[in-house]
Amino acid sequence: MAESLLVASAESLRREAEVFTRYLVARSPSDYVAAKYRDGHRVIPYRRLTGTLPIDELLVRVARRGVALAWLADTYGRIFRHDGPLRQKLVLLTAILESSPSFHENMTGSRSTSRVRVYLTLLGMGLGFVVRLAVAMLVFGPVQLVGALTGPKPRAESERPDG
Amino acid sequence: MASILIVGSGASGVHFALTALNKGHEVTMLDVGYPQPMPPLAEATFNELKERLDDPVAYFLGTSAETVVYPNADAKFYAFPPSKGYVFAAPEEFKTRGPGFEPFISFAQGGLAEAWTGGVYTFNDDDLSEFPFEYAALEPYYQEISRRIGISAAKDDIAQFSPFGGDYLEPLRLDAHAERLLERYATRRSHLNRHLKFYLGRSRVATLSRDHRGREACDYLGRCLWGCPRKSIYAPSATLDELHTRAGFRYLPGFLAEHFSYESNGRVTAVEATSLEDGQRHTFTAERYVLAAGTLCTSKIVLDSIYRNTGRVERLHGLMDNRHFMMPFVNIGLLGRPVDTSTYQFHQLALGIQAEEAHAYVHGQITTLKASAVHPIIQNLPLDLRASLQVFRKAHTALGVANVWLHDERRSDNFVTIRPVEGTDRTELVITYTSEPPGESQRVVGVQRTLRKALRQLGCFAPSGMTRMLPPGSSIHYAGTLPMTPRPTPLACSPSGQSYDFENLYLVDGAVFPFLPAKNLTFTLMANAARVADIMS
Ligand SMILES: Cc1cc2nc3c(=O)[nH]c(=O)nc-3n(C[C@H](O)[C@H](O)[C@H](O)COP(=O)(O)OP(=O)(O)OC[C@H]3O[C@@H](n4cnc5c(N)ncnc54)[C@H](O)[C@@H]3O)c2cc1C
Ligand code: SF4
Repeated sequence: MAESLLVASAESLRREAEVFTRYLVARSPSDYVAAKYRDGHRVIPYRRLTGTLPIDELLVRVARRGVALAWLADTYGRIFRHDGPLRQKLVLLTAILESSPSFHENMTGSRSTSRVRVYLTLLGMGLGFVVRLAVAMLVFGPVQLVGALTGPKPRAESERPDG
Repeated sequence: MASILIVGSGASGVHFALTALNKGHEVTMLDVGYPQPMPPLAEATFNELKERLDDPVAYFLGTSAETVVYPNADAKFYAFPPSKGYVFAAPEEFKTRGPGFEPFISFAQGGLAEAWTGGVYTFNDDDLSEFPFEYAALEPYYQEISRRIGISAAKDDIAQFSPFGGDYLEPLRLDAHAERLLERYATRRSHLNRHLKFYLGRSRVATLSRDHRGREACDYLGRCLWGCPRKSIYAPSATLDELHTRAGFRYLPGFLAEHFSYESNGRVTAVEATSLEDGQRHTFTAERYVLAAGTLCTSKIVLDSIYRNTGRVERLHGLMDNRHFMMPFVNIGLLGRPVDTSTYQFHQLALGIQAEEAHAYVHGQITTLKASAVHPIIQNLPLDLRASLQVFRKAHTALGVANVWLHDERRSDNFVTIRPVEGTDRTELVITYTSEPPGESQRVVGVQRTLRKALRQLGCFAPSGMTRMLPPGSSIHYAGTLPMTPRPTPLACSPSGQSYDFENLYLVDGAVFPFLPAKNLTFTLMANAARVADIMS
């Protein structure tokens, strides 16, 4: 039987930790980070908070495949499934990274940057986001639309340990 | 000299007890009293903890990362860390419900103020206008409490709203962000004061800038939210330590006080409490009884006592809690500057906005986010997480949050009561908080507009979509259920804290406040508790 989003195997969670850490901070996770990410899924509340939709399944599956696709799926998730499972997994990992040896340095602004560079970064990030969002809407939008018209409403499911 | 039985070791209880001992009374303190775990690696800074702890994720997020703040419309910008879990733990015997009201209750040694942020502001005569005494009556007790806890501050523009005749310790070192805000304020002060009625100054904090009564001065380790290992931030457990050294003091932790028994003339004869070790009921007697269990628990003990003795379920009207919102902002001039996490983490600046009616003064504190968790903030930026993280890193030093409170008044439709729990001989506390002070919604809009303008004058930008209005109960400033009134009134107490219903019962926590100004209340709780102990005949 195909593995579902809600009962991901240890292997899938390991793969997510790898891809998502590279997506967030351009490094591979340590064993400690990967183990904490897996353990965090015991209490990740995505079913309680929002339930899941077919689009959530798709966003997580696509995001697992590589950094570029994770970026695309997260961009879509930010606007259309802000509190959905993919975002929750990424927030969990962010929280773990900011608390972990050496990775925490990737999360805080420790280097000085000129104001012009800051504005350029903001501009670049904003434009990049808009372009990615346009692509992501073409890819994921129809699935969510079809799901919304034909599928069930989001289900809030009971917690079940994963992995 | 009397034998006194007091329930609760929070800010109210310990200062009542210390003054009562100074007056020669004998004090027995009954408490649930969960103890504080030792903070790890006392000398390590915030970032060093992440490198040196065996399992830093467990320390910062909990063993299963259970304190992660997940995206959700009501998500806050921070969560209470696992190291403070003991402060909010409750015995399973204690049940409460309050739809629409988020109660925070503590059964810790030292109570809620073991997790507080140490803001201490006196109430002035406008704030006390509904109290049965004036500022002058409290001033000596504010001074006494200040000597006990140590307050670091400066006498600046906030002093006109929060007067204080005593001496503060020198103020704490400011971080770059707070320093810049104060500099900008100095150049635009007259405009801000005149046109916006906006005032800025140093926070008044119970955090030591120099060693004081056995506690060490702040060494800028940046661990304030997780628990200061140097005890620089005052917590009532420090006074409890002092109480332990005093003759005439007895501390009995591990007991949940359930109710008191009383005679038909209203004289309290005993307190019944459950031992949390073996579940057995125990009876404690004294000449006088003092409730300092925090507004909600004190209310429950009174309600349960009436219910046990008469079968009547009463309501205690007038529950108050300040309306609270958080406005995040960016200090544009600090964009791109490196962040320094080895600074004092709680609020360094206080703000005030004068209102037309003096009692509606608005109070706030500014926290510059350096060592708070990153993930609750970046998930709210309007970008994907990778881009948000990069933007956050460039803006980290520039981020701040204004925490703002509004006053509250006693109203009859906000009340606490009890409900018997089926199949047990217990009750649960039921909290109903449905109405806000007249005109509060408009006031909030006006205050937010003024604050945004003031922040703009200070070189900051507050994105409008990010301000969070917190639900009732979140300011953790509970008061008003058994108020002090000048004339005898049922379910109320005299100006000296003596219950009008039970002649040898004294009430010394927030339950007795007849009004709740916007300013944080705990300094006044402590001063009032010391006052009641001092004037007790
Ligand atoms: C995160 C946070 C930040 C805060 N920041 C500030 C601030 O900056 N400034 C400010 O002024 N205030 C602040 N506060 C509020 C402040 O902590 C409270 O106002 C204050 O601690 C209340 O003290 P209390 O002694 O009246 O009650 P509590 O602190 O609630 O103490 C109650 C005591 O009674 C005991 N108890 C309760 N019921 C029973 C029972 N049935 N039997 C036996 N024992 C019992 C408990 O164990 C505890 O010891 C903050 C609170 C929190 C949580
Ligand atoms: S910065 Fe905070 S944690 Fe560090 S010593 Fe000062 S008060 Fe304590």
